[in-house]
Amino acid sequence: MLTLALTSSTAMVGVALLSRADGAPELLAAMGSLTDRRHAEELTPMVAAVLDEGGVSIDEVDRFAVDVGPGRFTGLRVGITTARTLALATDRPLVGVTSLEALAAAHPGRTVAAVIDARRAEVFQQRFAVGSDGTPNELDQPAYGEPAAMAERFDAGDLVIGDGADRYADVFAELDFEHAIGFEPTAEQIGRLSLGRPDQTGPDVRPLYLRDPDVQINIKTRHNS
Amino acid sequence: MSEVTTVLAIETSCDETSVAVVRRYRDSGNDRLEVLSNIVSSQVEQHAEFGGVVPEVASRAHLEMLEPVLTSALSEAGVGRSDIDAVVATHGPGLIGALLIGVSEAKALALAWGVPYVGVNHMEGHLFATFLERPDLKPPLVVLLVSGGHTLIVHLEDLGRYRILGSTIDDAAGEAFDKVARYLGLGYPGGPLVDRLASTGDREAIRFPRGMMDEGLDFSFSGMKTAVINYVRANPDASDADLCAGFQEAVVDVLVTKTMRAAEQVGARGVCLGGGVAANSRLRERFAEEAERRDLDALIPDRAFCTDNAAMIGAAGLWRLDQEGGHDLDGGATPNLRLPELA
Ligand SMILES: [Zn+2]
Repeated sequence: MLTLALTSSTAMVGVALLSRADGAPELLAAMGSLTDRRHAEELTPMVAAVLDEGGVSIDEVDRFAVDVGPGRFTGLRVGITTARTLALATDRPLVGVTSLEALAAAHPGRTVAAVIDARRAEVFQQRFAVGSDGTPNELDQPAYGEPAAMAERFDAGDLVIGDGADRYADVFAELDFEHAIGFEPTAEQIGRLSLGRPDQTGPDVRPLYLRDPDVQINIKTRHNS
Repeated sequence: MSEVTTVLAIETSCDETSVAVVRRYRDSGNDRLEVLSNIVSSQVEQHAEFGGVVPEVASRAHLEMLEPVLTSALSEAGVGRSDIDAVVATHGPGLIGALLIGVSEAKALALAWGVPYVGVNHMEGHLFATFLERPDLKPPLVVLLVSGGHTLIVHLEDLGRYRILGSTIDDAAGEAFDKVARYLGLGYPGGPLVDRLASTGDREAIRFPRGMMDEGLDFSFSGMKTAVINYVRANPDASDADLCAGFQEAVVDVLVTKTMRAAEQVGARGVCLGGGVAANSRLRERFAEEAERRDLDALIPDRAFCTDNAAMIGAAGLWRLDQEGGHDLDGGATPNLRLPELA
């Protein structure tokens, strides 16, 4: 069974192709790129390149998986739009995995506070007890707020990770949390976590925004000319 | 035996989610376009409480409507993936987050189905709406494009050869309708509400100034909106219907007069209307009358092709596909994309 996984909820755009014949999943091909605002430009060509590297056509993919956030609203919508469209166009199922779970899964055997930058001086946050096999077990519900306020929810032994942890490293260091730097969430983690989960259909795979939209009326930009 | 090309087109630049299937039949150089489906899902109710389009709300709504609009467009057209020769999408101008939904969807479809992707300029789409109904119409034409965000007089010298002859120096025409409607407490969007109320009023009762009427081909609507506000302050009992009728008459008068003036200046054979404000009933009526008086061929598209829709993007996309082939899959969206103008 072939799974194609996509992530674009943070500055990282990534695509991974995984195979699971009997038992252990195998990574066939993966690419990642740190992009600032070029998610839409980079994601589709990267899907084509990963399929090419894996030596498979899109019609051989059995299932799609996608990072549903939380994260950057525009970025994660690019990933979800692409994954939902690919699934619809090829009549295949897909599975949504959160960015917070994918972050935690990289650290087996730890309790992890996954922290994603939410802009405007806030972070998205969730804690997990990660099994030795990398299964992230939720310890609380995803939440958002100022980094210091979120840190009050953490336990002393927590490993703090994610682009929110990197951005507010000084806040978490002052509170004596251990901080791991990485480029997670990766598409490979999204793909691995999707494997044991039930199939979904496109409209079920919705963004985990957590925060309501900013309401700024924008008549001027209607056509911008 | 005609050559048949079928495109799937996607439009998500503002507050309508639209997908269409457009087919072109080409017989010895003569093209005929057929709209097999044109599904439009409007978000207007979701923005009404804010009195304008909220970008993040628009982006979220586009994603919510992705599957139902796409599958309806395919099933209504009675086509499947093997029938689609290219996928086209609006890549600007518009709201960046909203545009990126349509662009990402189109690129994913193109990749999955192994067909070319083409990015289309939204304004060029409005220009091509004309040819959906009148493929026989021949340039040179003068097109008046009026909506909530733009007011343009475009000289269409030939397909793909445009020159902007006039534009607004302040508010767009549709924006002026929205602002007057908001001031009178009518609601949002203002255009259809003013239009409906105006039909019950006397358009001669109150005469509002015609901004920049005698100066060139540019427009100014801000002063006309202010004139309404000042009039209501001085005459608090004025009828809303008469105010709307008088204001609409002033806006339409300027729009039509300048379009006809432009047509005369460039020696156009015909004049066309496009954009959301082109659905205004008084504008359609005056535009047809004045064109006829000057013996100009007038094209006033069906209301469904005036407001934002994917069929017009399909028409423009078919032409761009001929000119440029497919575009690379690393294309994004450009919020302030300009109409490709002649140097
Ligand atoms: Zn438009």
